[in-house]
Amino acid sequence: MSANVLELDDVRLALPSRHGDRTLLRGVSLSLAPGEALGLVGESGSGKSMTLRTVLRTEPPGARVTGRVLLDGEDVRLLGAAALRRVRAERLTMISQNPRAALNPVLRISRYLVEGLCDARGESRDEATRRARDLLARVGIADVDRCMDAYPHQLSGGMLQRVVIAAAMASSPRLLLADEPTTALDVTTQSEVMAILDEQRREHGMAMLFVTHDLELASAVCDRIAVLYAGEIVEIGTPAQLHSAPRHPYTRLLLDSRPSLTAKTAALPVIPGRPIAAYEVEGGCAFSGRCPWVAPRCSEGEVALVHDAGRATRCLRADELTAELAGPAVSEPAGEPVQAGETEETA
Amino acid sequence: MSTTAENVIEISGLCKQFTTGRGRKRRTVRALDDVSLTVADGSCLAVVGESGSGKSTLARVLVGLERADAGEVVLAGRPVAQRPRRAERRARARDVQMVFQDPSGSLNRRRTVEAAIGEVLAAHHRVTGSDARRRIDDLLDQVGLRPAHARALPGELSGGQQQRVAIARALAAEPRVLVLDEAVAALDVSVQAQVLNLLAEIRRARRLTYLFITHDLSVVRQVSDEVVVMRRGQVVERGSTDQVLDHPRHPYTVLLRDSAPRPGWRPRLSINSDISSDTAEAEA
Amino acid sequence: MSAETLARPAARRRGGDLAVWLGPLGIAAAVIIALITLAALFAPLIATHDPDIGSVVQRYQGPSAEHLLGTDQSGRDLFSRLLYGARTSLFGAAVVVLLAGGGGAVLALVAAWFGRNVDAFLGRVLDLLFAFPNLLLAILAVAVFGTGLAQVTIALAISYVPYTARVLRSVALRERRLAYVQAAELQGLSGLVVSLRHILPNIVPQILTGAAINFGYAMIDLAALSFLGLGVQPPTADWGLMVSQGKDSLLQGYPQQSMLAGTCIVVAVAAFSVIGERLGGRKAGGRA
Repeated sequence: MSANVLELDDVRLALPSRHGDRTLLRGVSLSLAPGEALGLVGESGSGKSMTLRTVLRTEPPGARVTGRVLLDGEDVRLLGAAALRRVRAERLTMISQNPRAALNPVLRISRYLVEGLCDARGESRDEATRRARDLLARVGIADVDRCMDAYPHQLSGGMLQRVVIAAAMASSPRLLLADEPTTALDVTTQSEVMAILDEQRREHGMAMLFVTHDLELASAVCDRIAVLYAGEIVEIGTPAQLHSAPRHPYTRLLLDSRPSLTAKTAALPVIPGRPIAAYEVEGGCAFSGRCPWVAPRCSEGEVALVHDAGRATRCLRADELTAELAGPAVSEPAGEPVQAGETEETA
Repeated sequence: MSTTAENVIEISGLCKQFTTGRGRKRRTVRALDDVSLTVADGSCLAVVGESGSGKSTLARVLVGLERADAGEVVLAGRPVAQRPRRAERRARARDVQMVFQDPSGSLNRRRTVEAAIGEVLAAHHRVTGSDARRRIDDLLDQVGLRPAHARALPGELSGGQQQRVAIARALAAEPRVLVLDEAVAALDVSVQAQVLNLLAEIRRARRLTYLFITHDLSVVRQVSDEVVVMRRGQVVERGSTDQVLDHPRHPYTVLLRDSAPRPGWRPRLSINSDISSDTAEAEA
Repeated sequence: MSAETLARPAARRRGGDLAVWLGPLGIAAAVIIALITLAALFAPLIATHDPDIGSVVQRYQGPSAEHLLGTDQSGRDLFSRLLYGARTSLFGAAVVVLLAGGGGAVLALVAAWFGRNVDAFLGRVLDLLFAFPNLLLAILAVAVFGTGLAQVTIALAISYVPYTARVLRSVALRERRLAYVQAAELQGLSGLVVSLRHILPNIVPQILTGAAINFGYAMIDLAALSFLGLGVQPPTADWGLMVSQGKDSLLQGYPQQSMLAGTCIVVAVAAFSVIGERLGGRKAGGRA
């Protein structure tokens, strides 16, 4: 029995398609301590959202999942329907990209919150109403009365996401699953929603699995970050470690290719090609096709995720490249200048 | 703004209202409220703002997809008619072209890359047949695609490749101005960097003028010489990119800058609660 | 964030996929439609007798080597009449579907392109047409223009237009708002060119689906009109008319004509509706 809230052990997922089975996750393993926030960061097709969905068991119909997903030591993949409902109601909570989809458009916010509380905790209506108002006040909603009386379409996306956060906090679950909760919001609203989410999570001592494409955003609110590429984790580390001394070339290039708010560069360092999906990997390191530091041995069989002092890296050359990857700027490491018009691979 | 060079875009007093709903629920939103700006030939002006700021409406009025209620647009020295005839629209298309946000939606999924670019060539330069083929290959090369991509349908391309095709299509008209409406917002980070570099290279090579609509201040820093900050249909601040981003004067610009995630950043409730509650309302 | 955004090979349908996509029921329906179509096309070659000539002496015969399915009240060969009947039934329904699909598509494109007032006006007109039951409209047309397949077919086609137009309008509107249409508009291309070159090809799947579903309904409605004596006129062979003509002999204990023609109608309609549903379900372009 482990003390971890969540443990994923070699989770693999394949989805049947017209072209045969398509692998989307190629063995994801991670652990989340109580109260810890772990960021899952990656581009399209990296499998970050799919990883989160295996925890909730909301993967697409027909998906074949192997591996273990342990929530407090109990494998959620093996739960029966009733037990799964109980887990979802009591120990897990989810915040998704679109709060509008989470709320019934014809019910007032008050009904959504109060009924949720009554159902989940068997509270009386008066008690639940009092608590709902309290929850809304805690997520920084100034005019609680107006909000309680409103229908979802009368509120902005930022307000709705706060309501969803308030509802998520109601049962103080052990684990919060957040899937790009601020991607659809404006930056100023994103900042506020993230601040509230962070504060509430800490107050309730919740662990969080935070899925995002934004490495900077994850760095600001997570204790550790797992970088995903093509359906597997390529690096795990603290935000400080990843920023000051990334150990996987992909992490380094991902950080570099994002334009900076403070300084302009003549040309952004680019990763040639496009992000590939797990089913497009052809043996060897998944990133080898785009990696400027690629060596012949990189394409000779699978690369293991090597754990070392709280960090993990999936790169054969991690040790040789340590200094170079932590260096100031990656200047045309392949010897040949990386062109702006670099052609993407054809599928 | 720069007065030394000739201005290729001059917009003055632009107003545009949208009404939604009927009866008692009828509401008017001021998408553009007396907007004036100029863009010097060969420069890149970033228009930055959040949803509801009117930045996209500005782009759509400029290219002629939307009609302004009042105000004047002068493009390459010619005043633009607000109810243009087809010939005028066609002439305007040779001055200004647009790249849209959604790469997959901006290409007809049943027409090949070749057909998409060829249509523009035929419409504006009467280039057809083998001449068109050469021009298409040439344009594809400029955006980093191969001649083989000409026969592809949009569904066979990645998001980044689709956006490159959209850029090639815009370039086919040989415009002086390119309006980029959140043109890199839907792309993955690694692909976004490629397209940003490509756009910078094209601007240098063709001496184009860009109007770059975006919500992303990091992108603003990377691409633009000057920036205009918009909020609720109004320009709240303008100036050179460095000046606005390093020494913002308007509290809203400060808020925008402080809200952008970056190393060492922490999310926080805004200092200026008045502004933030406004933002929430504007979205509703 | 999903595999959707990745580059992928063309999703063009191949033969093997087609069979999987149709399923057993769909394959059966496709085979039935193919057989009926062949029968209609090659009726003169397959038919054993002239469908319109019979001798009263041979009336009400049972199946035999000479008359495979027996004869009707006038001694005409039922097998040959069914073959020729497929011609008028299919042809009439095809014309209805073609006109209704074409008319609906044109209205949908016009509404989507101009939007606002034009769209609202067309919406009202279609609502008005909706108020008339299809058959009533056809009967009205007969009252004005006289009986006959042509009159009935055109009237029926007009009554089908609101159904196709309504569904196609919403699809066309969705396309109209996509950036590629605006990109084309920006080039100064005319509304006609943009509508035909860009929007139309993207709503073809919905047009076809609606056509397949409506085909069955059109067959039933035409058969009903022929049954009432308003559509196809005797002695021409037509399934609906055959059901009608068989009703007297039905009472005299000779049910085969009505039964056979009725079965043909039911089987054909079922086959078309199965194909229609495979093409896109009831979402697209079908009536009711």
